[in-house]
Amino acid sequence: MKITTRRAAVLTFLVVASVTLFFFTQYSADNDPAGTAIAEYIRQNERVMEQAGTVVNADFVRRVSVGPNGPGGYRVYTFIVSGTKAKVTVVVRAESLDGEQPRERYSIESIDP
Amino acid sequence: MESDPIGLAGGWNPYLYAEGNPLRFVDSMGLFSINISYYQGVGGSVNIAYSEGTWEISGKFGLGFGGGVTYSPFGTVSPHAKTTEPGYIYRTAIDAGVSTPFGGTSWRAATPNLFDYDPNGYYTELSPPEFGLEAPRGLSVSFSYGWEFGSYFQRALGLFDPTYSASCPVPAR
Repeated sequence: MKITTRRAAVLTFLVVASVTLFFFTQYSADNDPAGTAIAEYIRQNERVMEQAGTVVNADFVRRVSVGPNGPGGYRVYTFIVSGTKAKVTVVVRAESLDGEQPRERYSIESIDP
Repeated sequence: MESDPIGLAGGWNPYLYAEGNPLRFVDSMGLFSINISYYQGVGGSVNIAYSEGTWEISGKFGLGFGGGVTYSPFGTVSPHAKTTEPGYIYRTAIDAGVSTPFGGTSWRAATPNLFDYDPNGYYTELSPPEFGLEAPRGLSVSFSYGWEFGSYFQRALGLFDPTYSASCPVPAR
């Protein structure tokens, strides 16, 4: 069978789409322990409660990891938070703290309506 | 009145946002990014992103497959774009993504910015598969590796903010 440019392009699209989708379906926010902990942090945060009310749902939107894992690096998580008063976009920064027992500190970077 | 939610990134006094007059100016919030790409072995892409007053515009060329147009209502500027001063960007980046009119997903890895070099300044960005109005969407399937050049600067989104536009001083002729 002669492979035309058009067929090659379609095949390329299919292969790239399949590989990319496979890669992403391997990721789940539930598998990221920090993501789960941050969702809980958002639920209990006073600033979030002031603007959104009691948190009903926190949907994970994006994670940006900057620098190394551990001290010196940080991650920024974006969540869409639905509350009893409003829906807001919450950005949380997570950074590792040095010490005998490694631990993470979370802080709210922004809360946008 | 409450303090500026972007915190000290908007200045040292978080209560002085919107030029000190929250009734006259609107502190334009919001995020978005638009990406246009085309790769057939070689190719390029253009990315425009806005986040809380900071714009980032970059072009990339390199190797890859696929292409299309993607709009992300929660897209944002890269960690290399400072929110207090303008600057330039040069970095190497790998991008992969799939977008449909209903939703999509994307992944990116980038090296430190050459113009503001920090050995720990590499980053990865992941938007997991998401569907709905708030999801990244468009018509695009692409994978690419290449070199990205661009610039970032601060300007409020006056185009979509009539209150702000009406308040901007008009330069004298």
